[in-house]
Amino acid sequence: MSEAPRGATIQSEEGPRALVPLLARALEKGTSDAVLLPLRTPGQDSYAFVLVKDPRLLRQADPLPPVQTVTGGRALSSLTRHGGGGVRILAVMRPCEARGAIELSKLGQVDLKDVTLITMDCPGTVPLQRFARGDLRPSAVGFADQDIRPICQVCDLSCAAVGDLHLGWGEGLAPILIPMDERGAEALLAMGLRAEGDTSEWRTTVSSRSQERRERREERLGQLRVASSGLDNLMVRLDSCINCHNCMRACPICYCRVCAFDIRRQERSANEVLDLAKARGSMRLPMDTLMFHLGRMNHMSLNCVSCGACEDACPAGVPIAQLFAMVSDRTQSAFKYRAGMDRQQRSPLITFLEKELEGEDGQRC
Amino acid sequence: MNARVGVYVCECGNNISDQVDIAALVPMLEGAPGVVKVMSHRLLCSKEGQEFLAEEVRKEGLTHLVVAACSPRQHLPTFMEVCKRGGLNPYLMQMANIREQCAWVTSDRHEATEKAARMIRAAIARVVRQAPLPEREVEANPDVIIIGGGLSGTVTASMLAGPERRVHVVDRNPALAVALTSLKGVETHGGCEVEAVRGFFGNFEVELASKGSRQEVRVGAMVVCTGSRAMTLQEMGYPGSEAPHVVVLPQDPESLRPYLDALPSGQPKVMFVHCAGRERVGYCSGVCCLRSFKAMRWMAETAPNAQLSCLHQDICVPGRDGEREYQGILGIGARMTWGRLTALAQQGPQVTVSFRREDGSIGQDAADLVILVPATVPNHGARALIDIIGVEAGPAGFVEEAHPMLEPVSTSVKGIYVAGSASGPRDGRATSLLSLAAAAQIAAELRPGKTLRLEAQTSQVCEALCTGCRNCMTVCTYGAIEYDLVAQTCRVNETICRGCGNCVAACPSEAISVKGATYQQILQEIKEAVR
Repeated sequence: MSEAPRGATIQSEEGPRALVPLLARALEKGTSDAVLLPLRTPGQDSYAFVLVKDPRLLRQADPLPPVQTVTGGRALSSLTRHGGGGVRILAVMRPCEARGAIELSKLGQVDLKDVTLITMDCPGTVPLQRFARGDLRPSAVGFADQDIRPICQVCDLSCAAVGDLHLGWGEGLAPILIPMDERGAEALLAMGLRAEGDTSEWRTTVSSRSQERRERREERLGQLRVASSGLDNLMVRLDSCINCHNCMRACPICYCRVCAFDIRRQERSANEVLDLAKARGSMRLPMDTLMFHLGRMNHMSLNCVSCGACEDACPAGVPIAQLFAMVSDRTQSAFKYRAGMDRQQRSPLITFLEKELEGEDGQRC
Repeated sequence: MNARVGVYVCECGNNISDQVDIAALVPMLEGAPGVVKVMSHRLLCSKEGQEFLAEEVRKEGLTHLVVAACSPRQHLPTFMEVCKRGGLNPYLMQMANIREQCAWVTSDRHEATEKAARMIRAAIARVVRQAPLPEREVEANPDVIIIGGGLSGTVTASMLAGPERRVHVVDRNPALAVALTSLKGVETHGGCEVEAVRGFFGNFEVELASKGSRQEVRVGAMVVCTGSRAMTLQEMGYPGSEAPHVVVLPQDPESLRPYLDALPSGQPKVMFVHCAGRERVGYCSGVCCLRSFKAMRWMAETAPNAQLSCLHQDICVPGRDGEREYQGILGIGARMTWGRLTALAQQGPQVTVSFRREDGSIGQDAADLVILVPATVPNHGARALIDIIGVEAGPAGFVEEAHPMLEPVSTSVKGIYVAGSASGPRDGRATSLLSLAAAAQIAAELRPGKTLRLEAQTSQVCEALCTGCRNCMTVCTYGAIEYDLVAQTCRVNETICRGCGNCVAACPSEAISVKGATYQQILQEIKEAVR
């Protein structure tokens, strides 16, 4: 769609929860078979992605929970990794999660063929650990900037309309559902809405929000870059790592069945370790802490969507998502790529050009 | 069984010994794990050196061999042969390049010696982890597929078909010439298009698709005979070319007859315009002047009262008959004008032809019938085919020959040949010559019974690690990887794989490795080199 998109304004005070009755209507109409979205768990103190077929169960739904537990991309991958099987799914998630799903689809781990992605403006989420400790209960979370995760505070794509259908909302802005493509337009129609409203107000708000975040991102990640430059300083940032590899397991993009760093061949013989210890004077054990993080960065920084799942999963407080963001912002821009933003653009490392990066002077990343 | 590694250091005349202290190097290597013998030799690649090495392998009962000498690019095959003569599997030999990578580039003699020792120790660490690989050979498939059933396809097919060689001819046109369908040993596939090609010279798998059905053909070589066609009026894009009395010169002048019948009585003016579309395509097609003159002669006989004229640029009529044909045209009184066509316009019953003269001035002429002599362009669908089979194409979209003079029927892909006007505008004679040349080259290079050595160092997928992302398939230039729908993992076709290792680099899960260059082998080699 080349001209400015139009949207359907929804009369509701509830923000993202305004989506719930609309999703129910689409289910009842039968144009979709199921909805995948976060639901309040029965214990009432957490959230999980649930595939809902019965519209009545949607009452428990919270399209925009205050924490990120399992990411939407990962949930969608577990559902469609072996092909979607023709089940038409409305998948509701944050922009970063949807970008994860899009990256995974490029890597053959998600099948978007019958999936309508629905995204929404995201104010950020609170750190999982604080939430789990009970410091912030669902009802008490106000999405104030100081409560959201550091990676969310520098997210410039929090309102990225990467879904087929996107919900714009926020302070002083009436919720507006905007179809971004054919599929989104069909879903909107199934909800009984028409895209007749003007979206210029939403676009202006988003553009100023994103600009502000972009500046903050540059500034904070710039500070981190200075503080972690060189192997020694980087090691300081990774100091508290306990080698649990949780960051890798929680990452939606890390999709290998067995990580190379969990394979025996990475292990060294006692003689080799001794040799290294002799050469360097001392050896931290187990010895692959730095290699693990660098290796993962090497594999994943081009596909990283800065969702922050790794940092949430870290029990030791390593600012791993911020370190990834710091690296991937540069590696991705070297390939003129932003993970999960363009469904047509192929992932850089599987795109082979005879003459790439030629004639580009100066620092690339 | 314990490894018995033999390390042989070549002095390469003085090439290596000048810069590397061989006498100091040999004792540095003794005692490395598994090493039973370290020796230096004046020139291992010499006949005497090779015999010595083969004898050493036998005499010492070596299980692994390290040859510290020059670049494997130069002598890997030599020393692999030596291994075979000595009764050792050639993949249990490793070369350490202490000439190009050491003696020739390291100025300090002590450092060079130290570095040579490191490189040889790395080669030892690698070679003991190598596994013997079987040498595999397949009989090359002598069959040939010809894409395009026109003149060049027919000539090539008729020359190649025989009791020992089956020839397949594919054409998108369902109705193929009787000259082809009646040929013995030729199987025609009318109404088919090439969908995919896998494999290499002597061993191609070609997927054909026709409406609703597909089939696979196995051949040893391919000939592209897709031919060429005349540029259309729309493609030439001259203003006013839609005028009713403007026509493109057809292949057979007889097709002009209806236009002649419609000419006014008296002395109608017929104008032939050469080089139509030449500026747009950017080349002289070279075959059109003669075609035009022949058509003019036909017209002078068929419509004797017509006044013939010709708007031409450079006249290109080389060869024995060209000049005669040209003089003939002058003899029948055709009016020759030099000019570049700029526009056409139907004005009343006549067409006004505007052109630019050599001095830049604009000229105009009028005629009752204007015949545009068109540029020759690649046939419809040639571009798509070129992309599928992976040969190089020139800027005009014709298949590029491997060398215009020395290899006029070879392409950038070994085993794929090009004949006729698929590689550029040709007349019938040149088309036949090129087709005969392609047939002769295939007959010489792909003799029935020829064997092909398959790559021993093929890649392999570990099914337990493969996530089925199919990155490897996008980077494999040979189409050697298949996706197993049941196992949901990728699988390597070992008769097609050439062991290039692209897939290894592309696999994010490290599920692929190349035999003889596994992660473990390379890692241990590197560890030893940097210890």
